[in-house]
Amino acid sequence: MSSIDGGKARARVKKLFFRKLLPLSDMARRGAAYFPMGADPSAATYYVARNATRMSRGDFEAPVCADENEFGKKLAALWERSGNPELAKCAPEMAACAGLLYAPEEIDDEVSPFIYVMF
Amino acid sequence: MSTTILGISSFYHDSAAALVRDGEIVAAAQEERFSRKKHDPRFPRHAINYCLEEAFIEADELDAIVFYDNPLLTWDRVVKNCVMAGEPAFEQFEKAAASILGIKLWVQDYARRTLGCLGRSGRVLFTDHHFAHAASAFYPSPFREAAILTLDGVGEWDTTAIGRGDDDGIELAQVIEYPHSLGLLYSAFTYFCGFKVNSGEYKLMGLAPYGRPVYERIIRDNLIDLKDDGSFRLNMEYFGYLDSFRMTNERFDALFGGPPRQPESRITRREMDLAMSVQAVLEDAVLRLARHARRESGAPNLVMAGGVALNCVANGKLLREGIFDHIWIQPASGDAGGALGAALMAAHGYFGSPRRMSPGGRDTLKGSYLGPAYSSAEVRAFLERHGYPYERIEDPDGRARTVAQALADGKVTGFLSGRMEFGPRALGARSIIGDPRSETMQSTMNLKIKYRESFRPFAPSCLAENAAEYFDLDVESPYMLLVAPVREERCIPFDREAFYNNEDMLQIINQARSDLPAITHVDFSARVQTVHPDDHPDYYRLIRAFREITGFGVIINTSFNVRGEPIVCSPADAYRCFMRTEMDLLVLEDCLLWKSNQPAFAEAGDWRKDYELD
Repeated sequence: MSSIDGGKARARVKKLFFRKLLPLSDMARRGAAYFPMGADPSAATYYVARNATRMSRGDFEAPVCADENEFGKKLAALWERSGNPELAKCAPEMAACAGLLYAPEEIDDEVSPFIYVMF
Repeated sequence: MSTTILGISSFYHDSAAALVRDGEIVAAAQEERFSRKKHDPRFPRHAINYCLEEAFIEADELDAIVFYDNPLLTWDRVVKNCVMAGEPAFEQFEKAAASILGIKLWVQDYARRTLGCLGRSGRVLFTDHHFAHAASAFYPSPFREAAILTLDGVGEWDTTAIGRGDDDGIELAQVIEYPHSLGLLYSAFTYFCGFKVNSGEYKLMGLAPYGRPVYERIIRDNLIDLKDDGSFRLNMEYFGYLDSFRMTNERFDALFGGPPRQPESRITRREMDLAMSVQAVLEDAVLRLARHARRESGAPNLVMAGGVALNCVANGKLLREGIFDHIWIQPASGDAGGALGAALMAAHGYFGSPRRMSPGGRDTLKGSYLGPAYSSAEVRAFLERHGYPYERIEDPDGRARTVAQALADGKVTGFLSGRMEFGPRALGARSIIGDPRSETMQSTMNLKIKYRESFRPFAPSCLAENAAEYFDLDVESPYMLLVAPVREERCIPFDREAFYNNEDMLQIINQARSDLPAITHVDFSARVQTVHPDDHPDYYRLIRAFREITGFGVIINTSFNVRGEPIVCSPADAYRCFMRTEMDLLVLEDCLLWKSNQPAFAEAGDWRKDYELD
């Protein structure tokens, strides 16, 4: 639904991908894969047991990000917790991209209180 | 103290809003119905506005606004996917960055800008995607306790979740994670057969009975490893969605004898057989998952949601298998239903609202009639303002008799009555209806009214108490989510083998398959809606009147739209669709409009270009 229009944002995203993420691909291919790519004949089941089986009150509030700094911090914390320090290092750059990409839809007309009426 | 919660789903596919007060569902609607853009993914400001109006509240009276997905975890998946896929995934990464980092992450800003505030809590809350699906299925269901099974393409990391709901709330214990997904597997075949992903899955399901499962073994041997307990993995060597905008790749092409079918080109025997083959695999997987859910949960009943739960053929098999005593499926099972689920999840899981159960043992979804309604006065004001001739019949029984007689005379009728449905199915509030006894009605309605593919079957609506006269179905199916066999004594056998040996679909479409040919699919099945008088009295009355006139308590029910158009919402939408097609009669609440009496309808330009084919 959206595309990157700003040249600056586009360049930053490109840099993030090629300089920060792509070097991690080799590592992922060499065995530290983030997810399995196919069947495992030795596995009895493919179900993954959830760590948290219920949503706590904190879970409802956790994803809120007031600005890109908060996003960067939460992202880094998420990846530290999940054992992905290599990604946590990329979080500040992703936060910077988020700041540049922030592009809310233009709300170009008033929403009439009768918008759903037929006239 | 009262608690009012607004749920929102948006920025992916089919945005929607829903409003829940003290655990009661007050309103829910998809943005596409107002914006007139099919599957509109934009922030659902029109739908939100409607929900607030329906509840008679201002935005600052909301206790919470809840989004149906966790953008942090979604971004985590996108990043890890692109790292795994490497350089070819750059375009995908660029697009996802714009969508998630540029838009989805800032849902709180969107809410503030649209509503002018964030309600009493001053912030947006979030649910996990599959918890929203689970809540949309469990809380409105008629069950005190139930196993929960959610199945979709992907939400954050999860593609499948199994859990349980009871007085303590919702627990999801086991999941299958991306990229291993039954929804994406089915979408891959949807794409390969030349239909649109995220909307053409329904067509693939409808195409399946024309085929034979000749590719089932190839799928099982190469594409999916399905364990006895229902867990599964896909072989990603054959799929394109990790590193491209295609669902399948060249290896997939080689497996099935060539490239994907081009959209709108002729459907061949290969596509029919592929549809049947993947449908067979999906059904087997769903049955195994359900058995596992039964064992793990110990619950006698099952609730389901997620896009795959809209596969009503699989649902019908699940019902007939008897794994659970009862099953209940959320009709808005796609992403739109996530808005309702998010609101319900927060109502019960965050604010602690007590769960509302129906004392009569039915669900609390109100027939899924959760959208806007238009009074007779509003309809008449519209018609008179434009000078459209109409006949008003205030007596509900008299009106039902008049419309039923028109149906019996072969007239195709647009029917707008009461609150609009929430979810992808029309259930008699925004429906095109017809006589199912006609042998030519299926092709007539497909080609002259809906302007869609002629192979697509139509669904029947019948009185709840008479369903067993026509179908092998002994439970209610109010949301058209169960496919059941037409009763054997009503069916007319034909030579299916002869059909399998050629590719002429029309040969079979126009052949009578039962005494209700227009709603009997080629495998003698039907996607049944049972109508209960409490859910929609006017619609019930109409079918009853048709039964009194014809002896058949069944009518054709298809959504009130043309191909690519969102289902109509307002009388103006309905009138426009009526005049663009070869419908004969339009019912707008208690006003009847005959096509033959209407003035010429002039439009600037070709309206067909307004709608992208789905």
